[in-house]
Amino acid sequence: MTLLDDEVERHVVSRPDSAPSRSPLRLRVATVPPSAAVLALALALGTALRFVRLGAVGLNSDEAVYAAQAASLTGNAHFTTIFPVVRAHPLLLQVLISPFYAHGVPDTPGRYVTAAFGLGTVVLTYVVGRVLYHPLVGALGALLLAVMPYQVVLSRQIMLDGPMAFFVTAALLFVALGAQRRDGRWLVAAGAALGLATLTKEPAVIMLGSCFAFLALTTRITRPLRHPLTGAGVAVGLTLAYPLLTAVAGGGHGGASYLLWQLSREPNHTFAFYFTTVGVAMGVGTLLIAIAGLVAFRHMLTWRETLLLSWLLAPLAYFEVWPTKGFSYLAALAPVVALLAAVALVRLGWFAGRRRLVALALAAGCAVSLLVPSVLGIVNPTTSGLAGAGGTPGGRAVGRWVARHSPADAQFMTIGPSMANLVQYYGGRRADGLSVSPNPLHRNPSYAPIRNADLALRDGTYQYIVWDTYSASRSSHFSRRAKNLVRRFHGIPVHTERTGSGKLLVVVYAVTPR
Amino acid sequence: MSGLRHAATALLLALALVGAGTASSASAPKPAAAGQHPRTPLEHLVVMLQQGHSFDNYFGTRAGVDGLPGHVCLPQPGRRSCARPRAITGSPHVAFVDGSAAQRTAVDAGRMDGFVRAQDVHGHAASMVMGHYRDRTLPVLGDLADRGALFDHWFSGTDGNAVANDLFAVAARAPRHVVGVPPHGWRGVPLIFDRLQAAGVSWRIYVEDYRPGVTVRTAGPGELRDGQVARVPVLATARFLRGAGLGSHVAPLQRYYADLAHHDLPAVTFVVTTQHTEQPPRNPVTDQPVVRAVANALIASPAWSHAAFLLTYDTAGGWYDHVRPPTVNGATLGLRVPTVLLSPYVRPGRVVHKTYDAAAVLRLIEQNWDLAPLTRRDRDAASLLPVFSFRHGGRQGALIDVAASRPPVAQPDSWVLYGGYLAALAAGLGCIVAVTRRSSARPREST
Repeated sequence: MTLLDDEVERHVVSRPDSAPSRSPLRLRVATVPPSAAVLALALALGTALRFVRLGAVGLNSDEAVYAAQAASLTGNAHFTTIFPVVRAHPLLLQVLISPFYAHGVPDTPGRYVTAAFGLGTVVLTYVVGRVLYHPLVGALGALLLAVMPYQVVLSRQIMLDGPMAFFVTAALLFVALGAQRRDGRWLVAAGAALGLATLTKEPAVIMLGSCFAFLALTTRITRPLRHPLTGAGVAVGLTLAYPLLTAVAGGGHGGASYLLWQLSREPNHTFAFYFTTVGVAMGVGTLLIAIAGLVAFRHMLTWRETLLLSWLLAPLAYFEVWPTKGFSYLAALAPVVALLAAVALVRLGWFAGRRRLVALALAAGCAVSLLVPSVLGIVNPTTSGLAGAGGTPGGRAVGRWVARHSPADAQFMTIGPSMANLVQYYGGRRADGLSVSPNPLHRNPSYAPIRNADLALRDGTYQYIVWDTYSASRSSHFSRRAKNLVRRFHGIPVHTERTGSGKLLVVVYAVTPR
Repeated sequence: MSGLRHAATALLLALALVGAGTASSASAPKPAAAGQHPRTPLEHLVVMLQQGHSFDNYFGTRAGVDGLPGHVCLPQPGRRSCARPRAITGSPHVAFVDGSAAQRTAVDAGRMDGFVRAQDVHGHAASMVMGHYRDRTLPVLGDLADRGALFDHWFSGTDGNAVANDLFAVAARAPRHVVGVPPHGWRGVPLIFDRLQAAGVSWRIYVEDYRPGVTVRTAGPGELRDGQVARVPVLATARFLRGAGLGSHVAPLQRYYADLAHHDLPAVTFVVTTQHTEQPPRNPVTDQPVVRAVANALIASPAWSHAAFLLTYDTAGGWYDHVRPPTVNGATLGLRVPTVLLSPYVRPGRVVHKTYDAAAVLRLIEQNWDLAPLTRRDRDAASLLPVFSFRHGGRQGALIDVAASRPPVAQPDSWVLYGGYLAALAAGLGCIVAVTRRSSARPREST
C-alpha cells in the first residue's frame, strides 16, 4: 500500500468513530463509503449525459461516414453505391454497429453503441483509480470523466475515438494490475486491449510506446521478458489484421492511398490547438488541478504517476508532432487527466481542517464546471459553443429534403465534403465538394475532386448547388466560388433551412446550364 | 325604385365579372386547377419544338425502329456513283434547302430518291443529306428515347418549311408556300391558345433569348423568316399583342426554370429555342443540352408526377428519310421527324409505330382539357392518350443524360471483413479472459 492509500483509508474508516452521537438513520447514511456515493453519482450522471437526447441533432460529417460504412458493409442499397466500406480507418466499430444499419436510413443507433463505450470508459476509469490508489480516487476520477464535456461529446457521436479510448483505458488497467501485482502476464492482456483499440482506430498503436516508456522508467515489471514481448506481439498481431483483412477483402488500394495522404498532409492546426480547444473541453480547472497536484505532491510521486504520465505524454507528444490535429484524437488521454485531478483532490482532502474543505470545494466546483457545459451541449447543442456538440447545422434536414424532392440520379455540388457527406447519407444522392483538391496529395482519397466546376455545370453533371453556413465559415474562398456559380448558372433557391431564430443555415439551389 | 336597384346590382355584378376576367387574363397563369380541369391525371404538358432533322437522320440506326434501309443508295446528279447513308458526328456544315418544293423533289412521287437532287444547289455537299447520327452519338436524344416513348412514324404537319410548320404546331393549319411570316402577321388563324384562354386553362410559351419588344409589328425581314416572330406565332398574331396579357404568356426560357421551382408551371407549356434550334448547319451535339436542361428541370420538379414532356421537330430539315409521307384530308404531310414522349405514365423504352403527325399534340391538348378542335386536322388526328397508361401510378423520374460525377464505388468482400474483425475481437477478448483467470488464481504481491 502506498502512503496515500494508507492515509486515505485511515481517514475514511475513522470517520464513523468520530461521530458516535449521530442518530441511527444518519449513521447509516454516514457509513455509506464516500467512494460508493461518488461512483453512484458518476454512473447516474454519466448515463444521463450520454444517452439523453441522442437524436436531437443529425449526424456530423465524420459520423455519417462511419455509419454509412457500417450500412454499406451490410449491403444497404441506399449506401452501397455511394459510400465505400474501406476508407481511412479500421472497421471494428463499424462491424459492431452494422446490424443496426442494414435497412433504411437510421442515424442514431450507432450513437447508443458509442455511448455505451463511453460509459464503459467511466467504469474502467474508476477501476484504474481504485487499483492504482483508492476507491475514492477512482470514483472521483470517474465522476470528473463522466461529466467532462470532451468525453461526453465524443461518447454521444459515432466516432471511433470513444470506443478506442475504452480499449486504451482497459489496456491501462491491465498494465496497472500487472505493475501493482508485479505480474507480467497482465501485459499480454494489455497487448490484446491495445490490439482491439488499434482495430478501432489505428493511432492507438502509439500507446505501445506509452507501455514501453513505463516499463523502461520503472522496475515494477522486469522479468520474465517474454511477457512484454508477448503482449507487444499480441498487439501487433491484432493490428496487422487491419491491413491484411483490407487487402484480402479487396480494398487494399484505398488503404495505401490513405496512408500516403496521411503522411503528406499539410498541418491543419497550430501547436496550441490541443491546449486550447481540447484543453477547454477537458476542463481548464481539471487540467490545472491535475498539474498542480503533480507539482504540490511531487514528493509523493511513485510508479503510479509514472504510468499515468507515460500514458499521457507519449501520445500527446506524438500528436503535437503529427501535422494533422483533430479534436477527438486525445480521447484516450481524458481518463488519465481525470485520474490525475482526482488523486490531487483526494491528496489535498487527506489533510485535516481547512484544506479538506478546500479540496471538497475544488472537487465540487470542478465537477460543476464540467457538468454545466456538458448539459448545455445537450440542451442547446447548436448554440452551446461546445465544440462538436451541434452536429452540422441543417445537414440532416437538408439531406432528408433531398431524398424526398430530387430525382434519384440528381447530383449535388457543395462547398466542402462535410455537407456532401450529409447530402449523400440522408439524401442518397451523389454530392461532391468544391473545396476537394484536384491534387491527390492534398485530398482525402475518398473524395472526388470537381476538376472543372464550370464545365461540370455546363455539362449538366450537377443539378443543384448546396450552400451552407458551416462550410462557408470554414472556407470563405469556396463559399464565394459556390455563390458565383449559383449566379452564373441561374441558381433558383428551391429549399432553405434556418435556425429557430431565422438565421440562415443551408440553401439548395437548382441550377441550369443554359 | 326596386327596378333601379336591381339594375344597379346587375351592373355591379357584371363589372365584377368583367374585372375578374381581365385580372385572370393579365395575371400569371396558375396551375391547371385554376381553369378547366384535365380529364386525365395529366396536369401539365410541356411541348418542345426543335428544328430540322428527319427520323432517319437521328434514329436511323436505333434498334427496334423503322430505321435506315440496308442497301439504300441515292442517285447524285452529274455523278456516276450514288450516295449512301454515312455516319456523321457534328455539324453537317450545310444549311439544306427545306420546303414544299424541296420535299416534292426529294419524295419523287414516292420513290424517295430525290434528296440529293433537291440539294443540288450545294454541289458536292448535297450528298450530306444522307448523313445520319449513329445511335448514342447524341446522348441526350438517345437517353430520352430510352426513358420515354419513341415514335417512328411521326410526320411533320405540312410539307412546307419551318415557318409553316411552326404555325401548324399551334394552329393545325398553315399555308404551304410561305417564306416567312407575312408582314401583317397571321390574320384570322385561330390558335390553340385561343381555346385555352377561353377555357381558363393556363398556358405559356417560353422562348430562348426572348426579346420582349420584338413582335410582328417591329420585326425586320430576318425575324419574320427565322427569328422569334417566326418561331412563335403568338408574336405574329395581333390579338395576342394587345393589352398586358402577352407579358404573362410569352416569357424568357429562364422563367421556365423559376416557374418549375416555384410550383407555377402552367397547364400547357411550349418551349421554343431561337439559338440552339438544331437546324442545320448547327451542331446538335452542342444544341441538345438545352433539351436536356428543359427536360431535367421538369423531371426534377414536383410537377413531374402529373406531367408529360413531348419533344418534336418542326421539319426534317432536308435530311434523308426513307418513309413516304402520307396524305391526310387531302394534305400531304411533311417527312418523318423524331418525336419522343416522356411521362411518369409512359412506359420507358417503348417504340410507337402508329402514324402520327404534329396535329396529334393539339388533339392531346383538346382531349385532355376538353377543348373544341381548331380544324379537321386536329379533330381527325390520332389520339396520343393510348400511349399513356393512367391505371398504374406514375413512375419516378430519372434525369436525362447525367454523367456520374465520379467512378462507381468498388466494395470489398463484406464477409471477409465481418469474419476477420469478429475473429480478431474474439481473439483479443479471449486473450484478456485467459490472462484474467490465470492471474486471479495467483496471490498478490505486496507493494
